[in-house]
Amino acid sequence: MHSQFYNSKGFKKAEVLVVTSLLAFCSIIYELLLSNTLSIVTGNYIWWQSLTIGVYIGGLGLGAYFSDKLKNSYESIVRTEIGLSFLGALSVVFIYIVHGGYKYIDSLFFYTGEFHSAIYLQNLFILKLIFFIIVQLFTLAIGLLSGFEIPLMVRIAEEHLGDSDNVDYQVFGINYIGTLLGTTCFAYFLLPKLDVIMTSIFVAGLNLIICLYFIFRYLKINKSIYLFLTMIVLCVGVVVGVSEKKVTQTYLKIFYYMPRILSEEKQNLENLYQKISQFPDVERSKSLYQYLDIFKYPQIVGGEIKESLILALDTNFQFNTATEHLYHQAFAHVSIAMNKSVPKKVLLLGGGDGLLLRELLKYETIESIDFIELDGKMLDLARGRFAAQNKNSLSSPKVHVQVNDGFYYLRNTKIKYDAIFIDFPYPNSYDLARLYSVEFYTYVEKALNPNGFVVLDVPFHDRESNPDHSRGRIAVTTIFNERHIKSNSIIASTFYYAGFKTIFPYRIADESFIFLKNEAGGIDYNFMDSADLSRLDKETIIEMNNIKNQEFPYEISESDVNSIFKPAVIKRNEF
Amino acid sequence: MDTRSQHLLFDAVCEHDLTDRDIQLIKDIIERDLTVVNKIEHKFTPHGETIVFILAESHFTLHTYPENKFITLDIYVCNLDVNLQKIVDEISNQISFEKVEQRILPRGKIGTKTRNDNLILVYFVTVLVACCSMLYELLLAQSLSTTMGNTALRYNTTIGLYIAAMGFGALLYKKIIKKSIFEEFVKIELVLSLVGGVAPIMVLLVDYFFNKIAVGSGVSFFSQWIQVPLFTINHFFIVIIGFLSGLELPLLIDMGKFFDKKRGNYVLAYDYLGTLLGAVLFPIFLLPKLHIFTMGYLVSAMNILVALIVVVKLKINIKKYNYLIGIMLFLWISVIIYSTNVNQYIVKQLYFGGQ
Repeated sequence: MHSQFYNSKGFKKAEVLVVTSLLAFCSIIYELLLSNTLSIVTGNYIWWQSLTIGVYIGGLGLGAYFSDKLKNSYESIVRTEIGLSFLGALSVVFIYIVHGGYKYIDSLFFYTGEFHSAIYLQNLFILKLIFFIIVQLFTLAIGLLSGFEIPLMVRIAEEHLGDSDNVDYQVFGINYIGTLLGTTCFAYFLLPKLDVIMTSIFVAGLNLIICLYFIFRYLKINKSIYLFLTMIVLCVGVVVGVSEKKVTQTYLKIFYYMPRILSEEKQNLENLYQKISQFPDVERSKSLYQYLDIFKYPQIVGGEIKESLILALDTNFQFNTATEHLYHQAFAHVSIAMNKSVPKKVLLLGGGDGLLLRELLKYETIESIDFIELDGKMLDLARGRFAAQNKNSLSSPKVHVQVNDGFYYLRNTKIKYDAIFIDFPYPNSYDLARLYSVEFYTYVEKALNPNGFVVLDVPFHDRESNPDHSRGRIAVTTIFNERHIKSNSIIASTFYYAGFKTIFPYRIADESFIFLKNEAGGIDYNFMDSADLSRLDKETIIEMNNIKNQEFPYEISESDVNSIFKPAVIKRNEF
Repeated sequence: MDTRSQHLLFDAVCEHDLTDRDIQLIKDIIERDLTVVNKIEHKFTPHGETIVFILAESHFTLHTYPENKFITLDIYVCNLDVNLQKIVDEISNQISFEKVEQRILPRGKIGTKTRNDNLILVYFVTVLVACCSMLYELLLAQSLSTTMGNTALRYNTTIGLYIAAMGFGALLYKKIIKKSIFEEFVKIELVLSLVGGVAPIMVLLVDYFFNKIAVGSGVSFFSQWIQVPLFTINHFFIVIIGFLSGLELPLLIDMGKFFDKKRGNYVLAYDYLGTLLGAVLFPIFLLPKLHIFTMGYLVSAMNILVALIVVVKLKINIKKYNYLIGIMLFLWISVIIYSTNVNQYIVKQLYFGGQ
């Protein structure tokens, strides 16, 4: 009776379909792990998400194409699964190692060689190419092996159930459903709960269990060889799982501290690894939207070394506790001085750290501040870890905090403001480019009182040098070039077509800001003479004197407008 | 020599008793449309007749069973240009049959080493339609993120729903597709072209509509009474497109197998290739260059062109579809020509008008 059920057609079919859906589940998660990790480490979502899914699907195609070269279905599926769980368990670690190596060599080139020379740029290009080929070959291998799965499962199903039952279409169908399960689980459960390395171990483990099932259920010969291989993969998985923290920390330390060490001791390359491991751990946490990294960074301020903390979001530099006051003062006080009157009703979008809020609260005449931040975890940091830094600005009775999408809020609010401060991440991805679109600024303009102003922090380039701090390195000093004209024009044209007739860019230290008003000709360049400078530090005041001499080239053109329906992203490096 | 040929097998039961006039009629049609080189006719007693014509093209046979009002007829031709369907249609028009059963079998494939142009056509079509489907979905994800925000989540939900709907399409394939696979394919492409092209705009329209309801009724736009139906309707387009694309793949595999039993399976590989093309083209080349609505019109027009290629190359001669293809191609091309104005109008009315 029991064995009859076990061998019944219905049971066999259910068995094949369940296994197929699990295989699809594992494969898509490997792909998601690769594309997500690559996007985070390289900082370029568009490129790496689309190319990785592309290469993966290409691999699936190749696998499907060459699957008829595989002779024995059962041995082939066992081999495929052993290969996949091996690669899967190593996937994230592999990227960390390769990208860590890339960063390591790049830093060596950069700090020990003539970094502005053609040789450096040539080396960098070759290095990038090698990095790209290595990681995408890995993706291709995972795609290829996954591509074997469906045709092999169709063959196995047909051998067990006969040709007639349309079982092949059902295998296709259930494969898609496994894929859906995989994407959903990954986004809502695995990534937030387990993070990338543990997810890779978990899924590789699941894959290995399926592999064992195949070995015991179907294999007649060579059983022990495959069992031995399975055990090896198991050991690899355990080793990776146990050393998760060490791998992540080593990677993060190379990423954040390596430039520091090399810039201080240029030619002293001995014991680099030891030096790196002596640095304190990077505190990494993950929210629904981003990775939040906090790490200690000794900063030289006025000749003395000060311990300071740096916050990086998805590895993009946000602020350094030793120098942030300059930035936030320039943001808040310079714009209010330009406006020549202090606003009463203020809207603050982004800036979840509460530091800009601290500067705004220095004005007693500001009556209320509506504060919209997307990431609740940032607000937790502002209320906890950075509460002393922002002087508990979030608990002021003037401040009304709301966790919301800024775009969504503005699209649906009826309230009007005297001033809108916008502190968003730079538009490096299509998602962030929304926040710099003509549609968004049309709503910003609508929410502004007739004499109100808007100020935001944007990557806007002037004729002088513009160092790039964003990825943990004081980058090559760039001479103003065509690319900067283009990105300046995109930003300026977008504001213009959203209805802002006064566009005034200014730079304080390394940060550029734009001050906007809806009527034309609203700027008095001598605003410094009448400004109240009591809330500013000496350094900020010195920097302010340069504003008059700055020159920001841009052109206004309708074809440069950044729209959510036709995004124009400010391009950065691919890596 | 090209040995590829086609074999018609035709069985029919007449409504009335079989007459000599009926048999003569069939013979006349054959003699008119094909080249007869020899004839053998034999009458059995008490009744029944067997007629064999040797044709320049191959052969024709007819067996009659007057006691059952039944005839069985074979036409075998080694010329793929002969339209056998037209011949039997004419016979059916002239003689009233009560029941008919017919098949046209492609034969002689293994005797010829020539390239199978039709199979290559199926591969080509597969790449194009897979690319179109992927682009429809990515456009929808982008369009949804303009009204609902949170691009990453929109892309996740869209891809997930799309893949699942494809799964259901593939699962239900055998239950839904019963008639001629080529005809069904053309039908699916027409629907996809229509839904895919307007879906990004419909997202805005639905959003506008619910905004109006919220304002009119005084219910908050963010309350579940507005958000739940809004979400459901907006995501329904994804499911339609995914489902139709899910029917498409087995259909294409069957088309491939029709032309080549073995290599037909490679269609799956070309389907992946098309998806890859869509996934890479969209973010790197298309999105920065084209308004998403315009991209929708272009993809729809491409989809119609695919249907046109299939209709022309595989000689599917159905008037209804010819007209539909003509009309839709005309419509999409006109919209593409005036796309700048059309898009501006839509965004102004629907995106900013809903407040």
